[in-house]
Amino acid sequence: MTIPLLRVNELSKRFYTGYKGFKRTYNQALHPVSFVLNRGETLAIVGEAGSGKSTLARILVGADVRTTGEILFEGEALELRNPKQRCKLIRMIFQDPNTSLNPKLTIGALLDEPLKFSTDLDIKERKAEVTDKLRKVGLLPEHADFYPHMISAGMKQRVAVARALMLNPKIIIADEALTALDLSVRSQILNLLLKLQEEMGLSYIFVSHNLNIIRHFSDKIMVLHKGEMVEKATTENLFNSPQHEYTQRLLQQQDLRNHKRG
Amino acid sequence: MTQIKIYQGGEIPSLTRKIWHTFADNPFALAGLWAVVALLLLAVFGPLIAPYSAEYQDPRALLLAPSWDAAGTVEHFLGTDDLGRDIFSRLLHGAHLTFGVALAIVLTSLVIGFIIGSISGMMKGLKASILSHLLDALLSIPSLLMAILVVAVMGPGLDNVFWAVGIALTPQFVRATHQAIHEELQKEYVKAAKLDGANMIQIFWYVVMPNVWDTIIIQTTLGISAAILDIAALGFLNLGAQAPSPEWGAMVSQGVDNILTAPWTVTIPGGAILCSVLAINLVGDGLRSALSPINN
Amino acid sequence: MPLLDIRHLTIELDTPHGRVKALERVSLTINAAEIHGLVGESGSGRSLLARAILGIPGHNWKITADRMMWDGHNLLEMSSKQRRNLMGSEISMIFQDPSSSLDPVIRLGIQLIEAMPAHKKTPFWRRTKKRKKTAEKWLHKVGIKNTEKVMSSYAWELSEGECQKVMIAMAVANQPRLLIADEPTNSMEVQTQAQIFRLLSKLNQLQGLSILLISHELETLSRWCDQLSVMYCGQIMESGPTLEIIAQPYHPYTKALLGNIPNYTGSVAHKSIMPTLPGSAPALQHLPIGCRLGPRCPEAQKQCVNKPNLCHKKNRYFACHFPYNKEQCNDDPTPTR
Repeated sequence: MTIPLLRVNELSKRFYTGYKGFKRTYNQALHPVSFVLNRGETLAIVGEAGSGKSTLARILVGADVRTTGEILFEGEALELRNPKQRCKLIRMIFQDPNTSLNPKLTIGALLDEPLKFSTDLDIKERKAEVTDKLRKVGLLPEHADFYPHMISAGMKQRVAVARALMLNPKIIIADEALTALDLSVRSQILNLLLKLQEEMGLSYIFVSHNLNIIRHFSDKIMVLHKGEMVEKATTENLFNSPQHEYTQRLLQQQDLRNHKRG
Repeated sequence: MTQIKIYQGGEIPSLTRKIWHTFADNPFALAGLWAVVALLLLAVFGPLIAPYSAEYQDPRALLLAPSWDAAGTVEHFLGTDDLGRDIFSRLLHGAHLTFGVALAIVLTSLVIGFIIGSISGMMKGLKASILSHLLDALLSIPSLLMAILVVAVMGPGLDNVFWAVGIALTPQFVRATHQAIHEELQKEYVKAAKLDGANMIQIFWYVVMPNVWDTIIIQTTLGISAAILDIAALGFLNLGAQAPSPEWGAMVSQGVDNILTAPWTVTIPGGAILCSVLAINLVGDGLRSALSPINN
Repeated sequence: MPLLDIRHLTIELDTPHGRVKALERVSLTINAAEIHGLVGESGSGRSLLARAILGIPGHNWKITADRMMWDGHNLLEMSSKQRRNLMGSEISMIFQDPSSSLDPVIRLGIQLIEAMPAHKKTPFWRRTKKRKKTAEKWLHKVGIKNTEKVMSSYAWELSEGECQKVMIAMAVANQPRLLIADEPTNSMEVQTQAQIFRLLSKLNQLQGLSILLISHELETLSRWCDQLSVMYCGQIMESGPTLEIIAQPYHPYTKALLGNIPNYTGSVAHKSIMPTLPGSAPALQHLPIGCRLGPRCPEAQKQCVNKPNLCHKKNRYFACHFPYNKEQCNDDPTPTR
């Protein structure tokens, strides 16, 4: 049996919210969840606001520290607070391309940052790496001299994808990366992600609330509700026969068979 | 996959060039810039081109009117004061003092304030809080009052004015830097940089600083105009530069006795102070408008 | 007679790059008690159209139109005072970000009462109480149960959905005939979106309120709208009944937009590349001549340099030289400029 790329065991997170009387109170943002992700697979995490999906995404990428549980990457446990180790394995595409790109840096400098901070390559090698990734996401090498405010939203999100590709990670987490985009731009970025998955064997963890796109794009789905994992299944099984009633309710709301005033 | 058509004339203007173009489109800002450059040159070369020395007294030409008045002569271009000293030469010598010392004060406060502000801005928690509250307490005292307090402790004289106004200006730089850095740290690209594996120093220098330079530049121009006014005010009150010194504020105070008979001894140095502060403010304002569309 | 009849509306903007036609010969027809959806990506000029209908142009706009009639009255010939009267009483608008459209320092109750119609018939000592009662009645109608709590809170204390409901209450309290909703559910959760749309649909059915829904999400619009207009880059591409457009789009752009929604009848495989138009929408400085979809259109040919007229076929309008239905447009294409 091959070792899965990512195995998460009983991962949970609680936030400290103050004192009540003499006891410390906590808010359990994420109850213990476990799942497995293999190479080349796409896992979708679905839920509403406050369901803990962003917390889970942040814990996986290393922006937050987990309370309990362990994360095993190719069989080895990931350390609690080691962003330098984490950033070479799991990277993130942020939601809003307008705020996640530093407005004062050129795109080339932006893409150079991960290399500068985490690797020992010299300037020529870094430049070659940046050009290579720009080409991969469909931009020209000349774009490295542009500033973020000069390019459109779709191109900005491509830059965000390029930045996520920078240290050649194996897993990319897209935290609602497509919700801020128009329809056609969304499809272009999705096509780009699909193409990259085929070329480079990436795995994706997709956090979203748009069930339509998730159905097309992901292999496995995990539904979260108020911090608890309510259902976990492959895409086919979930959409054809949802088990939990919360999942059934979600599917009903987004039922898209051209209902007029449904 | 995307079709790019680059329609621009070929080059993409860098940010500094764009800022310069916006700045230069504003005629007032450009005029202010010329005036500031002229003042800088005067501050450096003034004593060399002055026709007379600052203390030279001509007993034959007491209280001579400026040259455009019927009673004046061209040799004493802006007239003389009650001791026969040429006002024009004293202005040039004084530029060196008022303007030059103001620049020196601001540069020093800037460096010290920047260092303290960045350290406190990058820290989180109790330590940062204590430092910033301490400096807020200092900020509550008006800068002129603070300078007078320091001079009262250390005694009058231009050297002590340097320390006084410097101490009065530093909290403003610390506060501005601290605020700007603190605000930048909330931004999402800082989070992204942390996830890229950057440590605090790298985040500070590569990610936060490019966005903070604007605030610092604007604060510097405000500081220069405040420093000029404070130095002149202290000189006027005889707490700064002392009597025979050609510092502009001291010149005003020496001329106050003769204000009715020879108003030019007061208005001309006052006008020089006004022009320099106005020029600095125009430049600062122009910079702020040029930088703000980039921020939006 | 249609409620709102706009024909060949053109809005020109004065930009540093010269005069630009932000909207070019846009035609729109809204009948009474109909929900009309306006679909377009960002940059297509939808909000410009909404503002032109309302009568709040920007300072460098130049609006020309062949016809702009509201209920038989010509909007272009009205004075600004008459337009303003129309704005409050017959046409109203709700905006994209509800919590930033409400004043953050005043309690919601006061803002709501301010928007209530003035009851001229009640004597003045009972007027405030009457307006407060009307406000509570409208809050109940839009589905807010605890009116006391909502009226005494500030805008930042409520969720987006509740704020948008309050905005809708304020907008429909004066019984307008047309409600323009500019991306009302942009930043909301799916369930709240469903609530808001159900509310709008209920208002449309019960009170005969016409709604112009402006959005970029074709999926939601196709669920809730009777008629649909598709806009791209300041030009109307296609217009007509929603079901017919979704079932058989005539215009290449509409077809491409529909192709972005994956459908599960088996024709599109799981995880396959979705069909999209290459490139991105042009910026204002670099607008193409003629049909603005030209550079990206899969059906484009040399003739597309002339802007196609809006053809009328049964009750559908489309502007294309090479549409997907069999018969071509019989009108002569007008040369531009």
